[in-house]
Amino acid sequence: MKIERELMRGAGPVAVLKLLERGEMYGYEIVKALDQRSEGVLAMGQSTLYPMLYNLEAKGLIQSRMDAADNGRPRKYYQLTGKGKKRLAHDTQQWQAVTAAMNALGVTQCIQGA
Amino acid sequence: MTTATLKRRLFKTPMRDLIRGRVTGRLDIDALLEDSDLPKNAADKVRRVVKRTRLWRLEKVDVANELIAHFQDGLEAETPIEELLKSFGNEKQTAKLIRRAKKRQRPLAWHIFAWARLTVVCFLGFYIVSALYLLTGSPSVKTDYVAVINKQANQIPEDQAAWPLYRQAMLELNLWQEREWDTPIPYFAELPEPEREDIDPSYYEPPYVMDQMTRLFYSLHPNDPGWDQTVQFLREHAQSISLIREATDKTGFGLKIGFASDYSSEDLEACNYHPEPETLAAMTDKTFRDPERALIGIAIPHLSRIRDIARLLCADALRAAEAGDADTAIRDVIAIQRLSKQAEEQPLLFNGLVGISARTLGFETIQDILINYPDLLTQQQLRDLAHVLASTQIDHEPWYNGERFWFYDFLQRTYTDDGEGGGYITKKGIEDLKSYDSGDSPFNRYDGPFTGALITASLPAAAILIAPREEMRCVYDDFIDQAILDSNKPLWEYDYKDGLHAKYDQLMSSSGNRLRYLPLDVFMPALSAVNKTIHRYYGSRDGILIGIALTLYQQEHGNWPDSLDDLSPTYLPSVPIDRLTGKPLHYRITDEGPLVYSVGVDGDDDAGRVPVDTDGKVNNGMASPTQLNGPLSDRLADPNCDGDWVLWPQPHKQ
Repeated sequence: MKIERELMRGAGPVAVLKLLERGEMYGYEIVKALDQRSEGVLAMGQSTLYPMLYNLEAKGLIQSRMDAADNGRPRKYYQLTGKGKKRLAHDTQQWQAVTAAMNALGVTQCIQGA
Repeated sequence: MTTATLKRRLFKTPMRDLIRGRVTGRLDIDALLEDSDLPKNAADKVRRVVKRTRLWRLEKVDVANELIAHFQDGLEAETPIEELLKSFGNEKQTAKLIRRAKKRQRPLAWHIFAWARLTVVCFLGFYIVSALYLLTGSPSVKTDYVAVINKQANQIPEDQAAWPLYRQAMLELNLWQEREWDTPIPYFAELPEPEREDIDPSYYEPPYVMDQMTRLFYSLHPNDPGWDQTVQFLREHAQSISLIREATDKTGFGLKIGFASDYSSEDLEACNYHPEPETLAAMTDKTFRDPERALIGIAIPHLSRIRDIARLLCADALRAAEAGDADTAIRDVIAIQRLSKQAEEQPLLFNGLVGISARTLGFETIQDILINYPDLLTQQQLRDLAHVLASTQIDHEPWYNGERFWFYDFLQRTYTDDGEGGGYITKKGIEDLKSYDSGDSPFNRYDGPFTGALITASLPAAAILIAPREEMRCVYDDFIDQAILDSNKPLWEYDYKDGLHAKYDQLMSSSGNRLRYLPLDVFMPALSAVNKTIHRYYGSRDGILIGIALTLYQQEHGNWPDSLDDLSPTYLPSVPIDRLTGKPLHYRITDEGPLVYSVGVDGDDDAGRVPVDTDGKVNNGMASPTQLNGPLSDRLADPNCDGDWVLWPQPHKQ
């Protein structure tokens, strides 16, 4: 299921920050992880991912470094910054509140029921 | 490895690398793609996206590396290239989003510059749109101020208009036709050589080419060299002088003033006014709405001739007095007063000042007659003369109000009109200001081929910086109202700090206001000087009236009175007071006769000594507006103010 762009705009960055919480990742790795772990709901192509990563980097929430892959190719790795960790904590609380509210309203139950 | 040539690598190497002596070629995205071994369709997609981002070259390389790595990672994970391409997304959208995101990563200085650039561009855009809008605004001329100032002249019945008689007399006298004379001007012939410096040599060296009026000008008094020639001229033209006297009996002057082309060729000839043929041709068949027919462009050539006529009448009065012809002398001096009244037919300061000038010439002549021919006039003639002079009140308020017409006409021809008195200055307004203003205004700092474009470009700024129409008119009106208030105050009650002078200086003390009210600066007449002239006129008239009363007293008693109070009420209804202090005038009897004077602007009694300025020029009365308007401490410190204002006998102007 593809989610609406506006919803993706809010959820995508939190999802990426959450993935990077466990350690640094490179672009394709993030795409695959999002696809697999969200069962395709938060799947995004390069057209969405890289602008998002650049925006998060511009805001100082993540930082990148160039390093060589196992096969020697250059590859850019992203990792959370201190500021990014704080933002993730804050956004997580927000999402939990929203989810709880939706749950209380029966929105998420309906989804689960469906 | 890339196969790029050295030249290509050089071109694709960042400057920072070149400075370090390294030809890295790391800006070569094609080489990167070649080295990546990506399938052609993937490589092409990366190339197109990167190109579309229009980022800086290093940023493009960064994006290219990232996208290449993404495809390579996908291929290594055995994802089919078709699936990778499909999940890539829209190229155009991707490039746009990447560009936007990458720009956010740029340094703060770049962001500041970008915002500054955007601000400037927006401002310029707004400015250009404003200039174009303001350029569409045009003045709306609704009032024919030439007709307004001619209102009184238009009401004069044809048979009561003096001008046709003056015109005839002027044409007969032919005063301004240049011709060759056998002798020099007598005054200059007798002048010592060193004093002839800076004087037209034709006045004293052959060929003596000049007009009759110039010769007469220097021989208007019986003691002047060449007086006998003046007498001869006056006798030869007695008929024309008589015609002038007849003209002064008419109700009004009756000349409708206007532009050069409005006058008949006879009018122009009589006024000795010879405009360029192009000027006359350019002004034919135009209505008052035409930009060329702004009030400021009117011609008033008759005013100079009024002064000449007054001089002729003065000379004729003295000729008659010398010949013992009291009746003609009296008629001439009364004619001067009537001529002066006629001169004020148009409610303009120019007219008023010329009227005052002519009246003052008449006063000098009366004084000359009374002093040099004390027994010429009978007691009745002296009383009649005193009555005429006492009744010659000047009505100066219309002159001040007439000054408003110049400004109102300027406003209606240079500002837009919203129908409720408001409006903003137009391009024509700035052009007119530039042509009128000789000062150091911003409009005068450049004059060249781009003047028009610069004026257009300055329109929005001018609309903001120069006061709008309603405000401009209000401020101007306030100043004129203040000038009228000042002029009606006795001088001893006048405080310069509350007067026009101080208020005007206060407004114009800031450079912002000087620009905001630039039209005021251009159009505001020197009203304080006019105020001084009016008071000096009345002081002069007081002196002549006292002189007549003293002569009457002397004729009856054989001696001078001990006090001026002895003159009232028999010879004067009341004794004039000192117009500077409000106190009694000073009176002394000297070897030459009685002396009547005001203490002058310095406020102390100098025994009737007239101030002499640093150039040795006699300054009877108030020599300059600052003397009238400045604080007393300044006046006392000014050597030009040290002395008294002598009212009888008044020293002749030099």
